[in-house]
Amino acid sequence: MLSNRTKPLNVLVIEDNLGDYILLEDYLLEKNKGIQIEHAQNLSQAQDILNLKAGIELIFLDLILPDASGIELVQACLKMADKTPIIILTGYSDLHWAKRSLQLGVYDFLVKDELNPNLLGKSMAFTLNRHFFIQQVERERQNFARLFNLSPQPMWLLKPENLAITHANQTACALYPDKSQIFKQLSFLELFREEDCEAIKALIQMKSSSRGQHYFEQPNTLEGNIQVELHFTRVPDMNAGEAILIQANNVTRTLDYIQTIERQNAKLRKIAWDQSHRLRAPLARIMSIVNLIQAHPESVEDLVSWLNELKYSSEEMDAVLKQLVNETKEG
Amino acid sequence: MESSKKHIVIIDDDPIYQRIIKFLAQRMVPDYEQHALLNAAGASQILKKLLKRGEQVYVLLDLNMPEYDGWRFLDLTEKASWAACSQLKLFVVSSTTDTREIERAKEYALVKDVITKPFTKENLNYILGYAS
Repeated sequence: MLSNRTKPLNVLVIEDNLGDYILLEDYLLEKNKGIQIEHAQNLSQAQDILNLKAGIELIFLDLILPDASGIELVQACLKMADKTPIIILTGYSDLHWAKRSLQLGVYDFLVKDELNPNLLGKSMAFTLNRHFFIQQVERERQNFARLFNLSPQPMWLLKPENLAITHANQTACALYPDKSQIFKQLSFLELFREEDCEAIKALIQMKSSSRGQHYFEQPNTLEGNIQVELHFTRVPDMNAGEAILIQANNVTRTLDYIQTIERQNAKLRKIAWDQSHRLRAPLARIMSIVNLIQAHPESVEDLVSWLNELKYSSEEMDAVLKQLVNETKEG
Repeated sequence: MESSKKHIVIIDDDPIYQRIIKFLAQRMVPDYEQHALLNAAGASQILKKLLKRGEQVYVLLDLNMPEYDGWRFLDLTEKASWAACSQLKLFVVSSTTDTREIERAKEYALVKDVITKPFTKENLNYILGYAS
């Protein structure tokens, strides 16, 4: 048993031989406090129990029942047990079936004639522990699958040899409402412009340095032609050994912003340039006049007219500044 | 043979500059004859006439003027044979602070120097005392 379990164990014994059942029941009760034992004498009874009662954690299965036997029985039982672990009870004569069942997904087999409480306890503990770990791995696998499938970032898994798409996550599929059904027949390169294919291929196969081009246009998506930044990672694949995981960052907006800012900057530079020229003319005039008045204070006979010139020049400066502000405001 | 007569030719579309330079020149060199031109169109004719007489001519040329501007004048005069003469001292006087424009103006052999406005009596002193 798992050492840290607190709940009593729930088991189902599928055994038509009453003598064998009673013996097993004795052993089970002896070693497992509070154990709940369900008894089915054939496959259909077992099915009923599994349907009615939730929480069966372990199934003992005799290999010869009135309504089924052998491998056929094992397969049927595996199916109805879903993921509940099965331990087979067998006589010496049926040992070959028992051994084959292990390959089908049965956890263990016990020879009835050799059965004793210790052996039984050990087999159950191994089975339940192994089942626990297998479930944990399966949960993690599902979590990773969810991370992939539900990511807001489009992701693809590719075969390394031909870059064929083996998986596309929901976000990636949503980009191509018409095509997502046939994703699996496509090469990843078909999502891009022909002229970019070589560069993408080189990038995926890590032939080019990471400093190379990473932005590519992805045409005809639901969002139009978008600019994406591609990231590649080689990941182990369950079947094929290795797969390529691709993540695509949509950088269309960022690039648009950058372009807009650059355009704006160029415009502002030009405005500043033009205006500083226009501003400098009246300013230099004012400075010249002030200089002149200071240099010849005694001989400036027509001070009023010079002041008028100063006034005129300052007004001109003011007008240029106002225009500068207005031009900067426009788009 | 050098004549005693000297001339200041101001080519500037800004009448205030005309007035400022005229004011300064009257006080510093009252015997110099002044010529005011609002653009460069008629300048070469006047200069030719003065230089023919062998008289000393100081030209203060603005760059940015409507229609016939200083650049056009420089382009046309740079290669003219009448302008290749030590009696002619041409200075660009402009309000620009654009170093590219200043460098470009200095590339003309004809241009002795580029003066950036504001224009002061020190500037005029420098121009009139310029020894080629």
